[in-house]
Amino acid sequence: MSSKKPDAFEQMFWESLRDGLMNGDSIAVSGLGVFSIYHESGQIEVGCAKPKAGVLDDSDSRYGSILVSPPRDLIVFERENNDSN
Amino acid sequence: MSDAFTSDLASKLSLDEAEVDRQIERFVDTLIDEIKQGGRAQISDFGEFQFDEDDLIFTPDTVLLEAINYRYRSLSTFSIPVPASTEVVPSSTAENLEAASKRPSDEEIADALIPEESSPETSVAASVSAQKPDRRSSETRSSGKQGFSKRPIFWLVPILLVAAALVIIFKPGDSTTETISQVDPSIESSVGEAESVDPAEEEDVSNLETDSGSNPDVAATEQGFDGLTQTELAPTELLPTGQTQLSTGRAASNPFVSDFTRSAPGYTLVVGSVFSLEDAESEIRRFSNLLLPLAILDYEDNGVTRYRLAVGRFETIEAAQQRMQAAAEQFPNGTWVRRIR
Repeated sequence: MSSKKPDAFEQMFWESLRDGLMNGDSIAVSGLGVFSIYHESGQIEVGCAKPKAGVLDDSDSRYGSILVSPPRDLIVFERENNDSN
Repeated sequence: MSDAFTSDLASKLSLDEAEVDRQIERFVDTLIDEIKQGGRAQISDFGEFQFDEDDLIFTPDTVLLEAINYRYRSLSTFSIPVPASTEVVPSSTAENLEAASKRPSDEEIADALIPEESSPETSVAASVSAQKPDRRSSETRSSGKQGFSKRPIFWLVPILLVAAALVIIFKPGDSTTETISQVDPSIESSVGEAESVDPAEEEDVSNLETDSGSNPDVAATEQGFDGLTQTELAPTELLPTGQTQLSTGRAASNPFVSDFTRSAPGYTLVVGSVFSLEDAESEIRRFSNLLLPLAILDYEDNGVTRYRLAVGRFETIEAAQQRMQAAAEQFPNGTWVRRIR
């Protein structure tokens, strides 16, 4: 697929698949598998951190932290059951 | 085959769906053969397929992942500073991390937030996020990712956890003494805004009008507040935690104006200015999660009273600049250093 120039069908195939995933659709391609989007929410981590160098303010020079990670969407591919493979 | 996918492809190629189905079948067969022969197939801007023994593995391309996560592009991991004097941290963190694929029970959440007397260096993860889809096991996920959820409502859980953690950490004391940590609604609000999916909401802080344009940094740091009338009315009393007590008068309705005074010289970070005290009180609450002293400073500009939002009190210019540069994302564009005396 990568070694030759894709033809019009191949281009349209991947473009349509990409568009579907962008819309959050779950797309099943016969013979290949199912592409899905899964939402992973963010995370909170409470811990301690070392003071930042050069910070003189009292309240800031001795602090820990609560880390908040943002959410993200993941692409999950599940192979279609196929005994031939 | 997804009907929408087939019909979309048929529309683009001006073919009927039956013909498209046949072409897809031939194309997929060819693709599988090529992967088997070459070991893998790289699809530009989409991803890579490869066989791992009998399993077909798909690894999405970075371009595709960035496009999928476009709505989160402006979000990044951020840190809410917490005074280290407060001991946070139970030792069950590792277990929580390992259990990231399941939603913790209420008891687990409560356990993760109960401070212990020792091991302050151990981090705690209150991993409430990772939601495992009911219809899949982790073994069936080709990507090997954990913690998926299609229900954004669970975003409320980490927000509430942050609020609960802050309440526990700061342990509000006497009702006559208000500290920054007691402004729970504002802290919760700040967190909520930072976590918001809507990028437009995240720009709220930057909407503050900054007057650094008319007050270049270098010049400003050489000036004082001599010509200004500070809204703070009474000297403050330091609390054991290093935070300050409310003073009287207007300050009684505004927990921020008395966090530092002209009697305590130094430098501060001016994050913006507004035309009314009410707006100033509202806007400065956005910075309460920084746990720095806050103040509203009014001044006359061509006969118009304006209110500067001042964050932090530093002994030197360098300290103020370092604080600003160390966490530039926490301050709006145009934040500048101002001398107070």
